[in-house]
Parts: sequence; structure tokens; C-alpha cells
Amino acid sequence: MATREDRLQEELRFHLDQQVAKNLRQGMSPDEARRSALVKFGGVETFALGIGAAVAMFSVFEGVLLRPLALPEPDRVVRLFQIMVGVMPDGFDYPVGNAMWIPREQTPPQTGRSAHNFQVIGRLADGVPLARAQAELSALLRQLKTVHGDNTRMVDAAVLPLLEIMTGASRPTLQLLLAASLLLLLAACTNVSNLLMVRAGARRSECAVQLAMGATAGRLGRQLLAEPLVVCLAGAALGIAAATTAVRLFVAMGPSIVRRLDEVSVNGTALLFALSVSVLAALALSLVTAAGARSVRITDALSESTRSGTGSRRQIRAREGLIVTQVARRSCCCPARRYSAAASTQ
Amino acid sequence: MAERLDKEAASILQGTLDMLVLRSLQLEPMHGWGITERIEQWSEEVLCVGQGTLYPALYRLERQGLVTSAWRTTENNRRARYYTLTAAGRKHLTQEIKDWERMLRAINLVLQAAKG
Repeated sequence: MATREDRLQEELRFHLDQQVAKNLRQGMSPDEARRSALVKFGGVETFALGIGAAVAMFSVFEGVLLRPLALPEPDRVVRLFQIMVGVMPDGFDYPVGNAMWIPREQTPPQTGRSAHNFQVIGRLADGVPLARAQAELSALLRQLKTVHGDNTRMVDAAVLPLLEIMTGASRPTLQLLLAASLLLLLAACTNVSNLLMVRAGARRSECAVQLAMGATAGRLGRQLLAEPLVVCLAGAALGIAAATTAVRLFVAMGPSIVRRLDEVSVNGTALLFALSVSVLAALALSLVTAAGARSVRITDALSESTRSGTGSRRQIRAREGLIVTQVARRSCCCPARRYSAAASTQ
Repeated sequence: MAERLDKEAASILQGTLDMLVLRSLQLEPMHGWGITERIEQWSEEVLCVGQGTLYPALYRLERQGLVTSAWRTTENNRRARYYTLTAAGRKHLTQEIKDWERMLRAINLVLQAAKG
């Protein structure tokens, strides 16, 4: 009995052949007909879409949330929030449009104890952890409260890293968008994997002959890796080009909940991300293909017609995994889109 | 002929793929390629279903018992997997079309109200 893997492979091959035949009827040359059918089947193009979305989202994510602030030793810069008796003020507006910060020492000392509208940004002393600064400050303020009683309303203050204050609100949205774009990339991998499977199936007996002639597993492995690698890298190149435009558009639209957008671009880190993801995808795809090819017994492969043959259980698992991911993406992206739309209107 | 929409817009509207696939099988059993071609023709080449979307959908519909499938020979003597609508599939399709028409009417009402 044919396994599900064999069935899907035969259906896909039939689908591809029908597309080639249609192209031929439309007057293409045999080579052109085949090439165009493979392109339509989705290889480079689909992967480019997947990786493009992933790189664009990664660039935004990295630029906004991961990259340190453009200050020396940014980890040490913190913002103090005064905590008063009664209702906590609804977030202090971060000083947008301020060109520079001046040290407090340059202004005359303030003796008033009720001016709670100041925003305090400080730098932690070298080697002082946030928790210690918080503890010291709390102790100090409590002491001031006992000394001055009703003349001051501040009872405590919170110390938070500046980066967190600036970008905290956009973090969940950006994380969600990044996850969604990675799911899109996985869906693109399903398409590429279908394409590779059809081609690998047609090449099974070629592999078997090479094995019989004494080709090592490594030699065969390199050959199996070559094709996904070419598809993925070509896809990555197109995808990066698309991502660069997408990021520029995103920055131009300037969604108001995301701070630091002006620092976002497709930079070296993003390129490295694209490269590693593409190579990883190529490796995974070639493993899925190879898992099937390796388990083929030579006699089977040489005597088989295109329809029979043995599919490896591992290969089926891997491919089912990809199909499951695609279904997961369908059910995930929709709520994700709704969520991010809701988040951006807040 | 209707203008071909760009790639993004031509991807099947979320949730309508199953309905379109079932509808294309309403007249006669067909293989995967035939379904793609039929949807493309009937929609005057506006809608196109990629293989990466179609086959997972067909396998899902089969698991849900809405279609069955069997190997048959095409007129060109090739073996192909043909999909047939089951009774449950027909019932499901009728319901889906009803829901769709109700939704379409509702949306149109809103759009026309906005115009006037």
C-alpha cells in the first residue's frame, strides 16, 4: 500500500507535469515550459517572500528593542519615577524633541519640596545593580518623608532602565509580528519542500546508482544540499531587497506606539540573520529530502516505477510537521493581525 | 476578461478556500490540477490556488469526511488522484454558500448605506 508520502509526491508530480503541458500548449519551448512551471510551483519566489517578511520584522525588532541606546554605557542609564501619596500620575511623557540633557548641578538648587513634575534621568555608578539603586533611593525618600512630613508628598520612587521606558509598550506587538513573520517563512518552506520532494523523487534512481558505484554519504549529502542552498540563497537575496523597501515604508508610516523608529534599517545584523536563517532552512530542507533518499534500498530504487517505492517514516514526520505549521499559521496569523491592529490603536 | 489582481489580492480570501474547492467538485470528481484550473477559469483568472495551499486543504477536507479520493486513469492514460464530494461534503457546501451569501448581502448593505 502506498504511504501518504508517496501519494502526495505522485500528486505533486502530476500537478507539475500538467503545468508543463499547459505551458507547452501556450507555445513555450520545452525548456522554458519546464522552468516556468517550476517557478510557478514556488521556489525562489515563495522563499523570498518568507525571508523578506522575516528580515523586515527582524530589522524593526532589533533596531527598536535590542540595539543599545546611542549613549556610552547605556545599561547604566535609568529613569526615576516619583511615587506620590494617592493616585500615581499616568506615565510621565518622555521628553520628545529635547536636544540635550543638562546636569542638575548647572541649575540653581530647588528648595521646594512639592515640585513633583520633574523628570529625573540618571546614570548608575559603575558596578551598581539596579536593585541596589532602588533600595538606596527608597530608603532616602522614606527618610525625607519622615523628616518633612506634610511638606512633601513623595513617599517613594521607582528606578527603571531607560530603554524599557522608551520601548516597553511596543514590545508585545513587535514580538507578535516577528513570530507571525517567522510562521510565514515556515509556510514558504512547505512550498519549497514540495518542490524539492518532486525533484528528489525523480532523481531517486540516480542517487541509488551513485551509492552503488561507491559514492560516500557525504558526497551525496553535498549534492542534496546544493539545490536547497541555491534556492534559499537566491530567495534570501530577493527577500533582502524586498525587506529594505518594506522597512523604509514601515519607518515612513511611523506607527506612533513604536519609539526609536528612526534608528531602524536593514543593517549588518539583519543580513547576518537572513543568511543564517537561509542556510538553516536549506539544511533542514535537504535533511527532509535526504531522510527519504537514504532509506531507499538500491534494488527497490532501480526497479521501481515512478509510482511505487518506500517513504521513510522520518521524512513523513518532517513533512507533516511542515503542513501542520502551515495550518497553524493560518489559524495564528488572523488573531495576530487583529491583535496588532488593536494594539496600534491604543 | 477581468483584470488580474496582484499576487497578494489574488490569494484566496481567508476562509473561502474550502468552499471554492468543494464547489469545483460539485459537478464531477476531479484531480488537484483540475481543481486549480477550474477555479482559475470560473473566476476569469482572478483567483489562483497554489499547490502549497491546495493539497493541504484537500487532505484536510478528506480527513473531515467532506471528500473522498481514489486513483483513476486520466484520458491521457496517466494515473491521478481524483477527489469526489461526499454527501456530508454537499451538505457542508450548501451551508457554506448560504452563510457566504448572507455575509455578502450584509457587507453590500453597509457599503451602499455609506454611499447614500
